[in-house]
Amino acid sequence: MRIQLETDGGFALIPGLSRPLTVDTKELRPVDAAELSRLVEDAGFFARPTSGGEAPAGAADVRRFTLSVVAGARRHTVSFSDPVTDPHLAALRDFVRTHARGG
Amino acid sequence: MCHHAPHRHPILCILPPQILRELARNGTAAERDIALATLATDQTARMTRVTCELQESGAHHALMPAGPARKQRTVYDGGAREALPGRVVRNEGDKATRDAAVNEAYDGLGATWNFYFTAYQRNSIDDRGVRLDATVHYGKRYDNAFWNGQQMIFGDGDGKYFNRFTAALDVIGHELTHGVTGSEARLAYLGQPGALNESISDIFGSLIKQFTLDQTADRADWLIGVGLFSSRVKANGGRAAALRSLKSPGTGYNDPVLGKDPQPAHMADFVHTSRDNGGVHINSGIPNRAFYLAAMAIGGKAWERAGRIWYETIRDRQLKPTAQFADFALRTAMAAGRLYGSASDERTAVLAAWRQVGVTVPSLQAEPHVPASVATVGAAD
Ligand SMILES: [Zn+2]
Repeated sequence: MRIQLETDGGFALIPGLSRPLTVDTKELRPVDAAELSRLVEDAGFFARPTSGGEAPAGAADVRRFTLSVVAGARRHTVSFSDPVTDPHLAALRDFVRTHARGG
Repeated sequence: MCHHAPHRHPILCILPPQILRELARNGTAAERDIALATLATDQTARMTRVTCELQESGAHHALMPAGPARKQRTVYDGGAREALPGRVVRNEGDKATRDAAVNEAYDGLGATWNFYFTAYQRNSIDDRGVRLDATVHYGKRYDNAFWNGQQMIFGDGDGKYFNRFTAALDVIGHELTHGVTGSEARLAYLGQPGALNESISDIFGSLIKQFTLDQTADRADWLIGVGLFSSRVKANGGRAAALRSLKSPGTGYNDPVLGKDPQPAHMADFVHTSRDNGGVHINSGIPNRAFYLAAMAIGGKAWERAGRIWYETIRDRQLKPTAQFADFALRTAMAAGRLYGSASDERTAVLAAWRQVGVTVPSLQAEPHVPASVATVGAAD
């Protein structure tokens, strides 16, 4: 399974901090790979609508996050904005940030 | 086209289809692309948040009684969670806490309120005395600050590249000015109007710092976010890195890891991108530098005349939410003419500033002639 996080917008668009981050379970320790699978499962990721929450009206400087998961033949993408109130999406986003290489 | 939010909040809504169509017809290439893509996709999925031109007349200001002109601040502690607003930690009049972020937010809200009230007689960000709320310690290692349409939110930074986001007064002023723009010009958060929206927040954020330090234009650093980056982030010439520079857009930082500040300083370098809502934090460098040039040419304290001209421009009811740089430039020239006379040095400085950044001010001939003798401060209303 592979998961990618893209981050766009925010108070500043810093080129070096806005590259996509990717995590592949093949490169993870088994315990981390299992955790990622569980997070994807708990989030019901593949059944989610592609928009996982929009910024409130009149908002500015919010960031937009796009998570894409490929697992075998299944692939799905969910986008969501600050403030992130869905704990499942927040957990997936944070997992990628913690475990991505060469971001 | 959109419905009223509760009165004390800026009345805002999603970009209505007719504005998208107008951008698709008359916008820049990047705006056209985004507008067409948005029109073509499921609106709930790809909606770009922008403000909505609600009232043609500004009637809601007249209908609502003005609140008392006094500060009403509340600072919340987000407790490293992403839930809003969090726990109240400092109310108006409370003594300083031991938490630097709380005190910086409280003081920054106060400095912003004082600035708008003293410089422009504006009663809080909505000019009707709305309370000012901020949440600090939002999220974990959260490296952003944002305005959610009603309050400010500050992260603590990742501790690696970013310090806490309350560390720079101009950043607090920037976020609150989004509230001012949201209750006045309502510039769409996309493409050129979005870059103008961002530029207005940078300009007044910088002016709030200059006002608080009582600096003249020539003494100001014209930087946004000094102190926000950790000491490991590099800038050219060995000076402290900042996020953006109004004086020299593109020189805020230049770092092996973060890359280089991507802002252009001239229309010739306008960045066409679909990221960042069409580069709203990138192309804002162009109107930012126009303001800097006008303020330097006019001289003195930048908020007094250059700032006044820009302030009257965002309150100009003829400024549309879809305004392009050239439309905005024309409105600044007209505001300068109303405030200081059509043959004034101030108006000349404004026109020269836009010319220097490559923005052509359209149809000046159509501008009504206002002799200096009848031009009065506040004539924009
Ligand atoms: Zn902003």
